[in-house]
Formats: sequence, structure tokens, C-alpha cells
Amino acid sequence: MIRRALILAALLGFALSSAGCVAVKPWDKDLLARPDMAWDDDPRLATIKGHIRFSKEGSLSAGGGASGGCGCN
Amino acid sequence: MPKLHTRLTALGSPCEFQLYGASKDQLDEVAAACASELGRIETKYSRYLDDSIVTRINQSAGTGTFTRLDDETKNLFAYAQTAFDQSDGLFDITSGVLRRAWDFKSGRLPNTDELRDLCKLVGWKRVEMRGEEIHLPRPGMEIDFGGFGKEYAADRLAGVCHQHGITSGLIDLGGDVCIVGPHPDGSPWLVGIRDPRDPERAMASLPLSRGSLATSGDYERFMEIDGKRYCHLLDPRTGWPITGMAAVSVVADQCLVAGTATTIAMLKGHSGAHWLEKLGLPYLWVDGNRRTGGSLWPKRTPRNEAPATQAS
Amino acid sequence: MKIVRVNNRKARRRAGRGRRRTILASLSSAALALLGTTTDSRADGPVEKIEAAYAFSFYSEDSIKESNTSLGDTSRYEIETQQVTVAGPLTDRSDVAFDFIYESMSGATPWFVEPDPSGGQPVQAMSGATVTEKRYDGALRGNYYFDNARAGAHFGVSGENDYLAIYSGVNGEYHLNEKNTTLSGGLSFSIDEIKPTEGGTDGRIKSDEKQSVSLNGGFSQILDRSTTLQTSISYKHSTGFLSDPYKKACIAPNATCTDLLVDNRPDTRNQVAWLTQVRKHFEFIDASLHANYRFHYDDWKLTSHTFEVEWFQNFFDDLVQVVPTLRYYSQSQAYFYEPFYLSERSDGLASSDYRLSPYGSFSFGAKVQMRMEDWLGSSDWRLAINYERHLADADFALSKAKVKNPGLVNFHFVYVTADIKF
Repeated sequence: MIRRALILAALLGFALSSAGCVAVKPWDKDLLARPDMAWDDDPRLATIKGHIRFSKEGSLSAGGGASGGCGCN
Repeated sequence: MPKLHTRLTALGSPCEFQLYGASKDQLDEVAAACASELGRIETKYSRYLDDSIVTRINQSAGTGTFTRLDDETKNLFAYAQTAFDQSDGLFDITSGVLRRAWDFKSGRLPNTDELRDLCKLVGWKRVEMRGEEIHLPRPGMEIDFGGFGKEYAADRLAGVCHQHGITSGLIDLGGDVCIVGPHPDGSPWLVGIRDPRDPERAMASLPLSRGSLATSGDYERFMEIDGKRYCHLLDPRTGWPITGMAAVSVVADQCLVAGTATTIAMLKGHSGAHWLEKLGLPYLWVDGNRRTGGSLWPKRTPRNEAPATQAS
Repeated sequence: MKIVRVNNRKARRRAGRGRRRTILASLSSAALALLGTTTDSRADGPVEKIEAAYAFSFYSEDSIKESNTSLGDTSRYEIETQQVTVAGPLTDRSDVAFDFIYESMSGATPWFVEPDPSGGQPVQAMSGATVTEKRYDGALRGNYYFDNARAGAHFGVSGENDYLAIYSGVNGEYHLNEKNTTLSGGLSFSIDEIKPTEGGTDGRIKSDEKQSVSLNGGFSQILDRSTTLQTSISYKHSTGFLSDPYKKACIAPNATCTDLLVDNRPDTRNQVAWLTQVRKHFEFIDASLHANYRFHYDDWKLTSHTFEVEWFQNFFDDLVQVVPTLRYYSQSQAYFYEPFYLSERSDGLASSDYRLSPYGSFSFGAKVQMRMEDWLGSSDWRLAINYERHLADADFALSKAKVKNPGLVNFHFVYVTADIKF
């Protein structure tokens, strides 16, 4: 499991470094500034979904540290 | 009142800032914001930088590849179009290629074959615009914003100053002056106008409280051969320098408008004075024979009223 | 602004006649239009508008099948949540936000799992339906922006009648490479206190505590004009009381529950999650794709994989947006988990909680949104409704589970939101 994860990480690192890293100019960032290109367009939806998943699944919550409730039930 | 007074070189010209602020912190912030905006404009529009949008457009000339334009660039081209229309085709941002034929340091006239070939690359009407994209159809064609880049930058910087709450100051980018506001005591700035035949000396000194003053002259880059002056302002239709006017200065709300007016007046040569009269802005001119004209000469009533308020 | 090409004789003559009066007007209006355009937006700065947002959501679990239940109420959990956010700029380099959550929960919950007397799959014993419980959660967060970096902090409190959590943290970002590369990191902690209802009876603890610390680091890169990629790793260390005081586990050596042990999990847990996200915009169809993959591993030997895909389809120049979503989740079990135990473990650990069992789930959803920008002056509005259906089953797991936990839950989730920025 760990080995698989490490291989995936190495592949990702290779993919990133060979992406060319062409710097996109500030005046070319119009598409990237769109709301549907944000990491999180609706923080409240992300929060409530994260809270539900944290309460109903065994994994780490997406938010990382920000706690909030036992979610025991 | 704390004052900022700096000289620097930007956009290829000597620049001077004199700004009054409420505190040194405010002035530091404004100075940083202005430097940042100047750098942004230079990086984006300089034809000397490899990854500017102007270089990208010029390198695609004749390749069939259209370049997508962002809002600011699109509006710069719209302004260039307006200036082209209002000058009957004399103000043409594709005429920069003609400089390849003229070497003002050499004292020699250009090769007529080379000049004729370059003239084939000039013509704003040839430029292909489709929606938000642009393409220069012939390889070797170039556009550049050198004709109004400094004036545009001056207006942008005035806007930055106003945004930071500066209401008193003066911005001078290579001779194009934008007044942020009169001195703190309300007194106007005295802006000197260079004598085209003795550029270290001022031939007039205009008091300005607001607005902008731009000057074009045949003394910035030139050569004299057999007593005839050949300057850097070239007629896009012939490739040869204009004759007639030695210097023109215009006062307007926006430095953009003032600068475009002086350039067009110079390009119109002998009919420049008439064109300036029709334009309706305060102006002054001096021609190659030391004749002068225009409402701004101190002999006449010094009417330096810039209509309305400074646009930000 | 449209560029009108005056390149035919008639138009030029027409323009020429009015020319004398309009040279100055033409140049001035073109200059004003140019100077009025906003220049390339600052990639990262404080929010510029004040925002007020409200969201209401309804979470409803399917009733547990009678055939899967041995005792207790079959109707499961229902939660109504209301969220409010108020945010805005503080100075020209900082912003602040306040988030408030109010939740109202009721329903029966899984208690313990026991063998089916008729010899089939294990069945779930449910608690009796609880009275409605409320949760309040308030958090304050702020950001300070440098030219190429951001520093942020948050602080919050969450309270229920049996639970209190205080949490706080700091986070930051640093931009490189003309703001095409961003390094991010964060450190946060939480202190929780649990005082279960009816504590002190039937082996249930009266009160206890848990603390956790989280550390995360990320790297995001703009790949091209329409694509971004982000990868991040989170680590969380928890200590204290990590068990569920409302659950028990059965000792059933002979197909009947002879003893009930209180849910007892290790008192430390180390979890690591590695998340990779991609965002790509397709200009010609005005749509964006979001894809995420998350790998989770912890020292309870619980491993999970999450795949999520969302397609943002825009209509009418971004006025309307429809977003179908799909999520697949698969987890393996915690090492000490069993639906029920033949005998007590030597380490004393025990849990029959389906959340530690091996299973997989599919979530299907769709969101419909209307958004207006620069409306009525310069305010931005958004209205959206979101629905999600979640189905969990031991057979959905990547490695088929041998025994299903009867407590696995399916749920509906509906979410409605309105927000305005002005």
C-alpha cells in the first residue's frame, strides 16, 4: 500500500516537472479567474459535505484540522 | 507636507515624480504602487521583451495565428483605431517598422529600396481583427504602442495616485506631464516647454493646476543633412519624416488625448496648426521658421483651463 | 468595446461631415473607455466586496431494513443545517470572515451488531430514537496579504449538549514563478471534550477529552491558460478518548450475543491523506471539469481511496450552471474492527462501528445554480440548489468485504444556498 502510494507520488512529481512549467502571463489568466475554476467555489457546501463525510466515513476530513463536532452519531 | 521627488528611467525615457502626501508611509505606498504599475505596463507592452503581448503579436505576423486579446489590450487597439480615423490615417501604430530604414546616428539617408519594401508592411487597415483576436497578415509587420504608451502610462499612474488619496503632484514621463493636483497651497505647477532649436532651454513656462500637457517635437531624434532636418516622426504613407512643425504642445484632461493630439499635429506638418485650431484644446506650436501660434503662448491670454476635472 | 473599421468610402464621407465637431469627442471617449478598463486582476488579494451568504441543508438517512435490525428504532438520522457567512475586506491588505453553523439532529443510531439468530448476516441493534439535539459552531478567520504571499488564521468553537470543541490554526501560501506556482501550508489543533448523555451508567464514560494536531502542505501549479493542478498532504495526530461512547460491541462465540463491550479504540491515531486535484476549463463548450483523488492511510490500518468528478456546465454566458457530480469511495477496515467478536481481544480493543468497516460508496449529485455579476450597480448574486444521493455497500469496496456491516447507511442530501456580494 505504502509502496503503491510512493510510486504514484514519484509519477506525479515526474509529470509536474515535465509539464514544461511555462509561466502563464497575468493577462492570460482570465479563464483561471472564473469562479468554476476555483478550488472551492462554495465554501459552505464544501464544509457541510466535509462534515458529513467525516461523520460517516473513517477517513481524515478534507479540511484537515478544523474540527467541529463529534460526529459520533 | 511630506513630499516625494524621484527621478528614474522607465519606458525608455527619463521620468520624474513630484507628489505630496499626508504621510511618508502613504508616499512610500504610492511610490511602490506606481513602480509596480509602470513595471506591469512595461512587461506587458514592451516590444523589446520576449514574452510581452506585443512581441507575441509581432512574432505571429504572417503565420496565420491569431493572438487573443485581453480587455486592456483590446481597448488600446480601439484607441489606436480612433486615433487612426481622426488623423486621416496619419497616426498608424504599424509604422514602427520604418525605423529599420532610418539610422539617425549615421547621417545618411535611407536606402530607397529598403524603404519601399518596409512601406509595404505599413498600414493599420491591413491588420486583421476578429472579435477578441488580432493578426498581422504580412511577415515582418509590427505593431507597437510607442506612439502613446507613455501617455497611457501617465494617465494610469495618475489614477493610482488618486486611488491612494494623493491630490497634489505631478508626473512627468519623458516630457509628457500629468498633473495629479496643484501644490498643497493651491498654486499651479510651472511646466516648461523646450525650445526645439535649443532643447536645454525652456521657451515657455505654463502654469497648470490640473489636466495634462504633452509635447512632440522634431528634436528628440533627428539628423541634419545639407541644412535639412530629418526627424524621427515618419509619415506612414511615404516613409519619410514630416516637415513643417518643430514642436507642438497640447493641454487636455487625459495625457492620452494630449499626446495623440501633439503627434497628429506634428504628422500633419504645415496643416497641423489648422488641425489644432479645429480640435479645440489649448495648444501652442512653433514651426521650422520660428513662427509660432496657439492659445497657450503667454503673450496671449494664458488660457490653460482644462475642461472639467482630471479623469482618473 | 466594438472596433468599428471605417474602411469604406460612404462611411468615411459620413464620418467626415461630422468630423470637425467630433475629433476631440471621439478621442476623449476612446481614452476614457481605455482608462476605465480594469487591468489584469490581482491574483491574490483580500476580497473586495462584502459577502453575506446563507445555506440550508437537509440530510436524511434511509431507514434501516427491518431484516437488518434486531432491536430499536428503524428510522435513522436526520439533520437540518443552517449556515451563515459574513465576510469582507478589513484593510487594503486584509480580510476577515465569520462562519456560523446551527444544526438540529434527531433519529436512531447504531448501537451494536449481533449475529442473526437464523444464522444469516449480522444484524444491527439500534438505539431508541433520540430527542432532537442541537449543534452550534462559530468560527472567525482572517487573512493578511503580502505581495506574493498570504497568511491566515482561524479560531472556532463547536458545541452540542454532549460535546464541546475548540479549534484554531494558522495557514499560509507563497507564490512563485509569476504567481503560477503556489506553496501552501497549515498547522491547526483542536481540543474536544465529550460528556455523553446518560454518562456514568452502563459502562458509559462520564466525560473525557481528545486533542488533535494537524499539519498540511501543498503545491499547486498553473499548467496552462485553462488548467491547474494541486497536490497536498495532510497529517493528523489525535490522542485521548477516540472511541464512540454511544456504541458497543458484541461478544458472540456461539451465534448469540453473550456479552456487550463498550466501544474501545486505541488512544492515539495517526492519519495521512494525500489529495490531488485538477481543474480544467473547456472554452468552446463553456464548461469546467473538476477531478480529485484522495488516498488516506492511518495507523489503525484503515486505508481509503476517494475519486470525485464534477462537471460544471455553463449556459447563457455563465448565468446558469448545472453541475453533475460523481464520487466513489472505498475503505478497508480498522484492524481491531469486527461486526462482532468470538472472544475479547487481548489488547482490549473493540468496535462494531460501520465507519471502521470495509465498504465502498457511490454518491451521485447535481447542482443547479444561477449567478449574476455586477447587477444593480456592482453586486454579485448567486442562488443554488444541490442534491446528492449516497449509497454504501460492502460490495462496492475495491477489495470485497467478507462480512457486510448491517449499519451501512444510504442518505439523501439537499442543499439550498443564496449569497450576495456588494
